[in-house]
Amino acid sequence: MADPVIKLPAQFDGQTLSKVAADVVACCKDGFPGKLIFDFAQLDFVRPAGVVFLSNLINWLSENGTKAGFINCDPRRQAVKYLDDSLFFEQHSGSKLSQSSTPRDTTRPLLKIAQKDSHEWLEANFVPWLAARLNITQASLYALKVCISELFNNIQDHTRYDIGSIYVQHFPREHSITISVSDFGLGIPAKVREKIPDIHDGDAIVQAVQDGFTTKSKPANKGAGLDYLLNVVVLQNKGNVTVYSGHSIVEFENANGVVHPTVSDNVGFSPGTTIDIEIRTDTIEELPEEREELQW
Amino acid sequence: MVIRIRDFVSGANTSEEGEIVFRRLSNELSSQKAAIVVSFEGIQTATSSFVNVAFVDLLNSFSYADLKNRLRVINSTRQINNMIKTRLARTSDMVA
Repeated sequence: MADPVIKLPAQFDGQTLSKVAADVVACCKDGFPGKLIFDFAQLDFVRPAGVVFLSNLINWLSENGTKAGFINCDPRRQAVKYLDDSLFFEQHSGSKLSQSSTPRDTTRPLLKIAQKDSHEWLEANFVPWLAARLNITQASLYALKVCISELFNNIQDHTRYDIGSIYVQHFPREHSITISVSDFGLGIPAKVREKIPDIHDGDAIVQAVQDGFTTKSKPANKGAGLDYLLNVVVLQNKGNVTVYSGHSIVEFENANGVVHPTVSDNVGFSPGTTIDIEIRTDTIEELPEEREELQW
Repeated sequence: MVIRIRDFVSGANTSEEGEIVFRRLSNELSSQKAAIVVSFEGIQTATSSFVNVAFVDLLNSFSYADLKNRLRVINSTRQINNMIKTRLARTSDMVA
């Protein structure tokens, strides 16, 4: 019997790919196949969340014993070249499609990294790279750095795998940065239902970001990481955070100084959790590198 | 008395690192009445996981006012200072 084929959409982002993931799950309802083919023929445009989301979906399939294959991947097409430059194919098929493909200056390429290594990567790679691109002090990015550290700590606290994927894209003309982080663990709704059994996926994601809410997988986990993320990105920077997990997508935005969630239910399926952070570069407060004393 | 965080942990990123610092801070605060200087020299940032364990758990033994009087945090960054102040204030409000 031929391997099942999943046709990828023309627009490649978290929203469209969650529908793809739902198709994949439907395809696996009688058990995970040995191989599943992704068809890139229609691919026309890729957003950063699409890179991480598809990568996460493939990692999740791999965990369930399904190998991914790729067809119609012509690196002369811009969208496929973008994926190849992101090192997507190198990570998932062992080599780049084209020798000439290389990570772009505007990105930190797709990286699968353990929590214990993530903090050093952020300090030695992410912060210096972004500070140089934006021509600002590294200290101006410390709060953003902690937001991502918090996500990797959550991955370690809430999943069995201790590994996440990250991809970063700077859009100079849009004055923005997109950071996508994903894990292929149980997902936020399933973790929240361990504490609140009947809660819907979207409500579970909204509940999970409340300061002090925790599934307490570790005594030290006091549930402040996602609250800190929303404070820094949505309230201070006036950026957006989108959470894809289970059968819901929740977008958090700044509505007159308040974090406002917009819940989209039954929009597809997201294995594990993918979090898309959009930062505005024009609202980053520049801070001096000088050390300071805490003033109570 | 200066406690240099970097002498005990490589960073202020995880609850495990927070636990090591908590034990040191708790011992020093319990064994003397004088103020303690905590230096974050060489450390850029602190996560909530670290601060919740290293500092917030001190509220089980010391009042918020006591900690403000006896802990002097130096060689720090805006992010670290804000995280310590915010987490201690929120937890102190919750238990008040």
